[in-house]
Amino acid sequence: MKMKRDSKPLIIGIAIILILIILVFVTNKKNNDTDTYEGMTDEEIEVTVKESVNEMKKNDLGGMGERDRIEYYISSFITSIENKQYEEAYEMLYEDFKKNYFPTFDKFKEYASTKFPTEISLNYTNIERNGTVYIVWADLSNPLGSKDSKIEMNFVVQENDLNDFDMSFKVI
Amino acid sequence: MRFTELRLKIKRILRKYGKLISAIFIIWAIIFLINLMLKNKENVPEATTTYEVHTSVIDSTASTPKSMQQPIEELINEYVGYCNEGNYQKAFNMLSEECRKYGFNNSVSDFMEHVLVKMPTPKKYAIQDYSNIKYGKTRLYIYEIKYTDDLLATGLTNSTYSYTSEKITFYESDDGLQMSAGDYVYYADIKSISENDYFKVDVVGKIVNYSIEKYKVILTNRSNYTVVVADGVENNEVILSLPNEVRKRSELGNIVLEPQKSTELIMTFPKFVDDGDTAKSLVFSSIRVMEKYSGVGEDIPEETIQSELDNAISKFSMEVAF
Repeated sequence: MKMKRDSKPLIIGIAIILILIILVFVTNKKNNDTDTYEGMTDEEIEVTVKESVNEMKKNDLGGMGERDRIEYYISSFITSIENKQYEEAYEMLYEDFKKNYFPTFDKFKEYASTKFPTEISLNYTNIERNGTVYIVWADLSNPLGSKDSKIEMNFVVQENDLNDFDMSFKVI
Repeated sequence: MRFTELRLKIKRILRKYGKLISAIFIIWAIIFLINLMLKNKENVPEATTTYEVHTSVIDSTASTPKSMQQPIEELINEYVGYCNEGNYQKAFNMLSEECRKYGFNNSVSDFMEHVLVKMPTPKKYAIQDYSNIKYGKTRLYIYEIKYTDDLLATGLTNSTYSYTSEKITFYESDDGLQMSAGDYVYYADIKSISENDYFKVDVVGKIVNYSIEKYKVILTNRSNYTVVVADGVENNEVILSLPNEVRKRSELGNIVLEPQKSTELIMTFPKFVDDGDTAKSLVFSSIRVMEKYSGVGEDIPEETIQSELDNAISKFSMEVAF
């Protein structure tokens, strides 16, 4: 049976519409997919939750400017020290920096627990960029301590991707 | 009856405009669905930065062609690698022939001296397209390279933030991508002469660096008297003339020629290669043919200097246009 020449464009148009409807359905389904923890072990749930938190952090960071992101990374490091989560802070440091100044975690823990104030107020004073490396000047002080508690410190940060960075600081 | 009339009317309209209505509906449906799909498309967050390696700092609308970007990055990486290893000969060989000749006098030790000023110890580096200019028919891509210590590895412990830098220029030639270092940009032949019975000025050519121009000049004293070109007695004795301003010579030394003598000099003037101006001429504004010349300085009395100047055989200016 021969297709009428006049109806050919109509059929092509309808075919395009059908393909687009399928694509809309697929993209919509992908966006609405949510994590389900059924049948997962505790460890698997922990990993999945961490991944979700990381994704959320990435989304938040994606909306920030580069200076805000760099300051966010430094704040994360300082908050970890303030909360005595030294291992988490140690993980943020650049490998060669660790080798040079804190070859063991215990050395870093000892340094961080004695050199940093227990309550930390962070005030960024300057930032410069050299290629992909950011150099940040900041004042650290104890808001409840004496006026002399201020420590001037440099942080060096390289952002590899959102929430993926290497960091070092001026050891004093 | 009315319903039948309406039905017939619609049928007539559909028969007449059916194809047009179908086409409009299909186009609308396609636009609507594409719009819906784009809305549903997952937005992948990106770490956006203002660091655009291959976009010129001087003119943000100019950038290096995509095809040249990777080769430039690879060349710089190789160059810095050789310098960090102390393999100066290999790094020197990477430079264009004219850069080796005019920038470093064909001397590896001159080049090594330059490298050791910029990189006394092995360095990390960062690059940035600084300026893109045209010289003749050739487009030149001038990059700034900043050398630093490994900042991440030290965190600036026991140090402060500092860097050294230089301009590295790239251009395409029949022999492929050419690279020049040490702020050297290009060499231009001038071969322009100005002369009279007493004196001859021959401007051979100029070496253009990023922030200075060096003119190779041959001066000849044709007279039997001492000729003074520059000794600090007059203002602006040697200047480079630009369309709207003049630049003073950077060198402070005196230029005095004994009778019938000739000398070859390099005269340096501050000028950025990307300032949009082109030098028009070299002006020697106060050439003095002296019957007697005792020189200048603290040990020569002012009166003597003035009296010798008053008795000069001739005093004139010369302009060598390019």
